[in-house]
Amino acid sequence: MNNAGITRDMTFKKMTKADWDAVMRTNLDSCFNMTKQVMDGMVDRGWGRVINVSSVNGQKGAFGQTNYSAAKAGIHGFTKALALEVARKGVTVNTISPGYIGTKMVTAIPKEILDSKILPQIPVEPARQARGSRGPDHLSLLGRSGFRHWRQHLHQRRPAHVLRSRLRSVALPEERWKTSFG
Amino acid sequence: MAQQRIAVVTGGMGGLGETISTKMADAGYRVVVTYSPSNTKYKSWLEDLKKRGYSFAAFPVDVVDYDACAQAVRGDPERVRRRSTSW
Repeated sequence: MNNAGITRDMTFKKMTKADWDAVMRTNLDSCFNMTKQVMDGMVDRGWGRVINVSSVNGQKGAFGQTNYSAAKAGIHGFTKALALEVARKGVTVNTISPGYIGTKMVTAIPKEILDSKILPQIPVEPARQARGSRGPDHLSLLGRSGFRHWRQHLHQRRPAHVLRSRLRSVALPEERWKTSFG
Repeated sequence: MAQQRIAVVTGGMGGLGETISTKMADAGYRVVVTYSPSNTKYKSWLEDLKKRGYSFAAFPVDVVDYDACAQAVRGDPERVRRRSTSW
Protein backbone atom coordinates (compact mmCIF):
# COMPACT_ATOMS: atom_id res chain seq x y z
CA MET A 1 0.00 0.00 0.00
CA ASN A 2 1.76 3.08 -1.23
CA ASN A 3 -0.05 5.44 1.06
CA ALA A 4 2.62 7.85 2.30
CA GLY A 5 1.97 11.38 1.16
CA ILE A 6 2.34 15.00 2.07
CA THR A 7 1.01 18.36 0.98
CA ARG A 8 2.79 21.66 0.50
CA ASP A 9 -0.17 23.70 -0.61
CA MET A 10 0.33 27.14 -2.10
CA THR A 11 -0.30 28.91 -5.34
CA PHE A 12 2.10 28.24 -8.17
CA LYS A 13 3.28 31.82 -7.86
CA LYS A 14 4.51 31.20 -4.33
CA MET A 15 5.71 27.66 -4.81
CA THR A 16 9.43 27.07 -4.60
CA LYS A 17 11.41 24.28 -6.20
CA ALA A 18 11.77 22.74 -2.75
CA ASP A 19 8.00 22.66 -2.29
CA TRP A 20 7.63 21.01 -5.66
CA ASP A 21 10.37 18.47 -5.06
CA ALA A 22 9.22 17.50 -1.59
CA VAL A 23 5.75 16.59 -2.81
CA MET A 24 6.87 14.88 -6.00
CA ARG A 25 9.43 12.80 -4.17
CA THR A 26 7.32 11.83 -1.21
CA ASN A 27 4.12 11.17 -3.12
CA LEU A 28 5.34 9.86 -6.47
CA ASP A 29 8.95 8.74 -6.25
CA SER A 30 8.00 6.72 -3.18
CA CYS A 31 5.72 4.55 -5.32
CA PHE A 32 8.68 3.57 -7.46
CA ASN A 33 11.01 3.23 -4.51
CA MET A 34 8.80 0.83 -2.58
CA THR A 35 7.16 -1.06 -5.43
CA LYS A 36 10.54 -1.76 -6.97
CA GLN A 37 11.55 -3.66 -3.84
CA VAL A 38 8.66 -6.09 -3.90
CA MET A 39 7.59 -6.52 -7.51
CA ASP A 40 10.10 -9.20 -8.52
CA GLY A 41 9.04 -11.31 -5.57
CA MET A 42 5.38 -10.89 -6.40
CA VAL A 43 5.96 -11.91 -10.01
CA ASP A 44 8.05 -14.90 -8.93
CA ARG A 45 5.30 -16.04 -6.60
CA GLY A 46 2.64 -15.39 -9.20
CA TRP A 47 0.62 -13.29 -6.79
CA GLY A 48 0.75 -9.77 -5.58
CA ARG A 49 -1.30 -6.69 -4.88
CA VAL A 50 -0.05 -3.16 -5.15
CA ILE A 51 -2.42 -0.41 -4.13
CA ASN A 52 -1.42 3.18 -4.66
CA VAL A 53 -3.26 5.90 -2.84
CA SER A 54 -3.78 8.75 -5.25
CA SER A 55 -6.33 11.53 -4.92
CA VAL A 56 -9.34 12.99 -6.63
CA ASN A 57 -7.15 16.01 -7.21
CA GLY A 58 -4.89 13.98 -9.47
CA GLN A 59 -7.68 14.05 -11.99
CA LYS A 60 -9.47 17.29 -11.36
CA GLY A 61 -6.65 19.50 -10.12
CA ALA A 62 -6.97 21.72 -7.09
CA PHE A 63 -6.27 25.34 -6.33
CA GLY A 64 -2.91 25.61 -4.60
CA GLN A 65 -1.91 22.06 -5.45
CA THR A 66 0.05 22.08 -8.68
CA ASN A 67 2.66 19.89 -7.02
CA TYR A 68 0.23 17.53 -5.29
CA SER A 69 -2.07 17.20 -8.30
CA ALA A 70 0.87 16.48 -10.58
CA ALA A 71 2.22 13.82 -8.23
CA LYS A 72 -1.18 12.20 -7.82
CA ALA A 73 -1.79 12.22 -11.56
CA GLY A 74 1.63 10.65 -11.90
CA ILE A 75 0.50 7.86 -9.63
CA HIS A 76 -2.38 7.14 -11.97
CA GLY A 77 -0.02 6.79 -14.91
CA PHE A 78 2.44 4.69 -12.96
CA THR A 79 -0.33 2.43 -11.79
CA LYS A 80 -1.91 1.86 -15.18
CA ALA A 81 1.38 1.25 -16.94
CA LEU A 82 2.71 -1.15 -14.34
CA ALA A 83 -0.62 -2.96 -14.20
CA LEU A 84 -0.28 -3.73 -17.90
CA GLU A 85 3.18 -5.14 -17.39
CA VAL A 86 2.42 -7.53 -14.56
CA ALA A 87 -1.25 -8.42 -14.91
CA ARG A 88 -0.47 -11.75 -16.59
CA LYS A 89 1.89 -12.65 -13.81
CA GLY A 90 -0.89 -12.63 -11.25
CA VAL A 91 -0.06 -9.22 -9.88
CA THR A 92 -2.59 -6.41 -9.84
CA VAL A 93 -1.75 -2.76 -9.47
CA ASN A 94 -4.52 -0.36 -8.59
CA THR A 95 -5.16 3.13 -7.43
CA ILE A 96 -7.56 4.43 -4.88
CA SER A 97 -8.37 8.09 -5.22
CA PRO A 98 -9.99 9.48 -2.12
CA GLY A 99 -11.76 12.80 -2.05
CA TYR A 100 -11.57 15.02 0.99
CA ILE A 101 -11.40 12.92 4.12
CA GLY A 102 -11.37 14.42 7.58
CA THR A 103 -7.74 13.66 8.30
CA LYS A 104 -5.16 16.05 9.63
CA MET A 105 -4.04 16.72 6.08
CA VAL A 106 -7.43 18.18 5.28
CA THR A 107 -8.24 19.81 8.59
CA ALA A 108 -4.92 21.64 8.32
CA ILE A 109 -6.34 23.58 5.38
CA PRO A 110 -7.35 27.09 6.49
CA LYS A 111 -11.07 27.49 6.93
CA GLU A 112 -11.35 30.30 4.43
CA ILE A 113 -9.71 28.17 1.77
CA LEU A 114 -12.01 25.27 2.55
CA ASP A 115 -15.04 27.49 2.43
CA SER A 116 -14.14 29.48 -0.64
CA LYS A 117 -12.17 27.08 -2.81
CA ILE A 118 -12.90 23.51 -1.86
CA LEU A 119 -16.38 23.07 -0.44
CA PRO A 120 -18.17 24.85 -3.28
CA GLN A 121 -16.83 22.20 -5.66
CA ILE A 122 -18.23 19.31 -3.70
CA PRO A 123 -21.89 18.71 -4.45
CA VAL A 124 -22.95 16.48 -1.58
CA GLU A 125 -21.73 15.20 1.75
CA PRO A 126 -17.99 15.65 1.44
CA ALA A 127 -15.13 15.00 3.77
CA ARG A 128 -15.72 11.92 5.78
CA GLN A 129 -13.42 10.73 8.46
CA ALA A 130 -11.38 7.71 7.55
CA ARG A 131 -13.40 4.87 8.93
CA GLY A 132 -12.13 3.37 12.15
CA SER A 133 -9.53 6.03 12.68
CA ARG A 134 -9.65 8.22 15.68
CA GLY A 135 -8.41 11.37 14.07
CA PRO A 136 -8.70 14.63 15.90
CA ASP A 137 -11.34 14.68 18.61
CA HIS A 138 -14.91 14.28 17.50
CA LEU A 139 -14.02 14.18 13.88
CA SER A 140 -16.56 11.62 12.86
CA LEU A 141 -18.89 13.18 10.47
CA LEU A 142 -22.46 13.98 9.82
CA GLY A 143 -24.72 12.35 7.29
CA ARG A 144 -26.89 14.69 5.38
CA SER A 145 -25.96 17.78 7.24
CA GLY A 146 -22.83 18.19 5.24
CA PHE A 147 -19.42 19.57 5.73
CA ARG A 148 -20.30 22.95 7.12
CA HIS A 149 -22.20 21.31 9.91
CA TRP A 150 -19.29 19.06 10.43
CA ARG A 151 -17.11 22.04 11.16
CA GLN A 152 -19.70 23.34 13.55
CA HIS A 153 -19.83 19.91 15.04
CA LEU A 154 -16.13 20.12 15.72
CA HIS A 155 -16.57 23.25 17.74
CA GLN A 156 -19.55 22.02 19.69
CA ARG A 157 -17.95 18.68 20.48
CA ARG A 158 -21.07 16.68 20.19
CA PRO A 159 -20.89 12.91 20.22
CA ALA A 160 -19.80 11.54 16.93
CA HIS A 161 -22.19 10.14 14.40
CA VAL A 162 -21.11 7.44 12.04
CA LEU A 163 -22.61 7.95 8.69
CA ARG A 164 -22.61 7.03 5.08
CA SER A 165 -19.81 8.04 2.87
CA ARG A 166 -19.46 8.76 -0.76
CA LEU A 167 -15.96 7.47 -0.48
CA ARG A 168 -17.19 3.98 -0.25
CA SER A 169 -14.01 2.14 -0.95
CA VAL A 170 -12.36 3.67 2.06
CA ALA A 171 -15.27 4.29 4.29
CA LEU A 172 -17.92 1.63 3.99
CA PRO A 173 -17.33 -1.83 5.43
CA GLU A 174 -19.75 -3.51 3.08
CA GLU A 175 -17.97 -2.12 0.09
CA ARG A 176 -15.04 -4.11 -1.11
CA TRP A 177 -11.78 -2.50 -1.97
CA LYS A 178 -11.22 -1.93 -5.64
CA THR A 179 -8.72 -4.70 -5.58
CA SER A 180 -9.63 -8.15 -4.42
CA PHE A 181 -7.52 -9.46 -1.60
CA GLY A 182 -8.31 -13.05 -2.52
CA MET B 1 -4.52 -18.68 2.92
CA ALA B 2 -1.82 -21.18 3.63
CA GLN B 3 0.69 -18.62 4.72
CA GLN B 4 -0.22 -15.36 6.33
CA ARG B 5 0.31 -12.59 3.87
CA ILE B 6 2.11 -9.43 4.71
CA ALA B 7 0.71 -6.01 3.95
CA VAL B 8 3.20 -3.17 3.95
CA VAL B 9 1.58 0.21 4.42
CA THR B 10 3.73 3.27 3.91
CA GLY B 11 2.66 6.19 5.99
CA GLY B 12 0.75 3.61 7.99
CA MET B 13 0.35 5.81 11.04
CA GLY B 14 -1.27 8.68 9.19
CA GLY B 15 -4.89 9.64 8.79
CA LEU B 16 -5.74 7.20 6.04
CA GLY B 17 -2.83 4.90 6.86
CA GLU B 18 -4.16 3.96 10.27
CA THR B 19 -7.50 2.96 8.84
CA ILE B 20 -5.88 1.04 6.02
CA SER B 21 -3.59 -0.76 8.46
CA THR B 22 -6.32 -1.82 10.84
CA LYS B 23 -8.55 -2.92 7.98
CA MET B 24 -5.79 -5.03 6.52
CA ALA B 25 -5.17 -6.61 9.91
CA ASP B 26 -8.89 -7.30 10.24
CA ALA B 27 -8.72 -8.98 6.84
CA GLY B 28 -6.09 -11.37 8.15
CA TYR B 29 -2.90 -9.78 6.98
CA ARG B 30 0.20 -9.33 9.02
CA VAL B 31 0.66 -5.61 8.83
CA VAL B 32 3.94 -3.79 8.61
CA VAL B 33 3.72 -0.04 8.73
CA THR B 34 6.44 2.34 7.75
CA TYR B 35 6.62 5.80 9.17
CA SER B 36 8.67 8.88 8.56
CA PRO B 37 11.99 8.91 10.43
CA SER B 38 10.93 12.33 11.69
CA ASN B 39 7.86 10.86 13.37
CA THR B 40 8.37 11.18 17.12
CA LYS B 41 5.05 9.67 18.13
CA TYR B 42 5.48 6.19 16.76
CA LYS B 43 5.84 4.54 20.16
CA SER B 44 2.65 5.92 21.56
CA TRP B 45 0.88 5.09 18.31
CA LEU B 46 2.00 1.48 18.52
CA GLU B 47 1.00 1.26 22.17
CA ASP B 48 -2.32 2.80 21.38
CA LEU B 49 -2.99 0.34 18.59
CA LYS B 50 -1.89 -2.52 20.77
CA LYS B 51 -4.54 -1.55 23.29
CA ARG B 52 -7.03 -1.78 20.46
CA GLY B 53 -5.81 -5.27 19.69
CA TYR B 54 -3.45 -4.60 16.82
CA SER B 55 0.14 -5.76 16.90
CA PHE B 56 1.92 -4.08 14.07
CA ALA B 57 5.53 -4.20 13.10
CA ALA B 58 6.76 -0.72 12.38
CA PHE B 59 9.88 0.60 10.74
CA PRO B 60 11.12 4.09 10.07
CA VAL B 61 11.61 4.41 6.34
CA ASP B 62 12.26 7.53 4.35
CA VAL B 63 10.25 6.64 1.26
CA VAL B 64 12.02 9.36 -0.67
CA ASP B 65 15.27 7.44 -0.29
CA TYR B 66 15.49 4.50 -2.67
CA ASP B 67 18.28 2.79 -0.76
CA ALA B 68 16.42 3.13 2.51
CA CYS B 69 13.41 1.43 0.93
CA ALA B 70 15.58 -1.35 -0.44
CA GLN B 71 17.22 -1.92 2.89
CA ALA B 72 13.95 -1.91 4.79
CA VAL B 73 12.28 -4.42 2.51
CA ARG B 74 15.28 -6.70 2.13
CA GLY B 75 15.74 -7.11 5.82
CA ASP B 76 12.08 -7.44 6.42
CA PRO B 77 10.91 -11.04 6.80
CA GLU B 78 13.12 -11.94 9.71
CA ARG B 79 12.63 -8.65 11.42
CA VAL B 80 8.91 -8.84 10.96
CA ARG B 81 8.76 -12.22 12.60
CA ARG B 82 10.95 -11.15 15.43
CA ARG B 83 9.37 -7.80 16.04
CA SER B 84 5.80 -8.87 15.72
CA THR B 85 6.21 -11.49 18.38
CA SER B 86 7.49 -8.91 20.83
CA TRP B 87 4.67 -6.51 20.13
